Amino acid sequence: MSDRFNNPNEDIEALMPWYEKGTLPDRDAKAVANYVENHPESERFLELIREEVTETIEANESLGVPSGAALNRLMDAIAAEPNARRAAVRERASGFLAGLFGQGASPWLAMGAAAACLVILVQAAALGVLMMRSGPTGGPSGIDLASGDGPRAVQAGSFVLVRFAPTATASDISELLRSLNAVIVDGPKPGGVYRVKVSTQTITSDRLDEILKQMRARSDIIAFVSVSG
Amino acid sequence: MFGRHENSKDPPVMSGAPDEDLIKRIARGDSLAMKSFYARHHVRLYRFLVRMTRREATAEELMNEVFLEVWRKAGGYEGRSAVTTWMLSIAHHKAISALRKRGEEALDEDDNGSEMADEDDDPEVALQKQHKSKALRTCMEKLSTEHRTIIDLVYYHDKSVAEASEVLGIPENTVKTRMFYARKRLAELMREAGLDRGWP
Repeated sequence: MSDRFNNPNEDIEALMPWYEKGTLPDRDAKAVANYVENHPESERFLELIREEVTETIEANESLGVPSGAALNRLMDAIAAEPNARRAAVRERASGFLAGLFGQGASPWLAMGAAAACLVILVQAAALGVLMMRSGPTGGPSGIDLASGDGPRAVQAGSFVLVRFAPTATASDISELLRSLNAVIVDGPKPGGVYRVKVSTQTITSDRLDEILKQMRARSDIIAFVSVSG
Repeated sequence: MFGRHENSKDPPVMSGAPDEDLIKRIARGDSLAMKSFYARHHVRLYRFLVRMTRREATAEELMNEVFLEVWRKAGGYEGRSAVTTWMLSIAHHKAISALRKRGEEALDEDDNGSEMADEDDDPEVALQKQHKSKALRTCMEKLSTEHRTIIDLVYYHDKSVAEASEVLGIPENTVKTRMFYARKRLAELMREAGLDRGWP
């Protein structure tokens, strides 16, 4: 490493980011600690590193999270993987169901039971959605949904996809949407994502970016937001 | 790290199961283990990819490709490095390929990209108006992908020299020099913006 640095001190200075993060092996950490002890001015160097760490973490944390639909897409892709693996999963599932219905259960009985479970799950999901929509205003927990404008009104305009923070209250969401002149037009989609109309016009990408920024700034209410086509 | 669960609607994390155990189960075709692995790591992996590609949609697509590769290659994982290091090395490789496919010079400096284009043509004037920390972050964004990535790996993903070496596929000494020169370049950018940090 030395041949690539201008002076021997740079060998030690190069290790300081890891020293500050506590990810150096003991031997290197001791060497840096000795250097810091003998060079009090290097405390300023460590302070600069701490500033960089803080900004790096904040820059990363401000990036939000992937859409809820990503997991569904992944699991779909996994389900389409070669038969051998799926067969292994089926074998275990069949074994589990056989355990539930008795060792003598036929594969057809096991499959029938699996289908029944699936129906129950689908019904539960549908009921959940209906319950969410049955509030006074029809949106999630009573949030306003666009209504009475017909399909064309839902199609025209500019849209974003939003997943609300689990801790956001209905009034928080309502207030934020109202301040942005936004309205929920569809959802929840897989992953709890809603389609939100932010303008009745097709707005410029700059304006859309501005709205996205405003939404992202309210991470207490909005867990994820992205442009919707 | 890589352990926070950021959304209650995400699949549950098997909090007691080490990554290595989840990988073993994934290798046996256990999709529940895959969901747990995803829940545990998807946010940080996504952010790593957004920082590299500067495109949320691309990052999300690549993230899923990485998880799919984990699903496919879990049986070949030998535990010689941490699971997150192995996963980030797959992610890094995919991001670099995507950037090259996109026709961008991924490793050149000042590949600022449209998302962080300067609002003001005169960085000195712009930065003087901002708080020092914001200026620092702005200058970090101006670093090349190569420099930004090493800084993210060390400061955000807590990777050691050896782990960063594995993720990036470069020798450990190159990791050290790359980090050193990334920070040096950052200091230069700050100085150009009128903020001398006193180093180097």
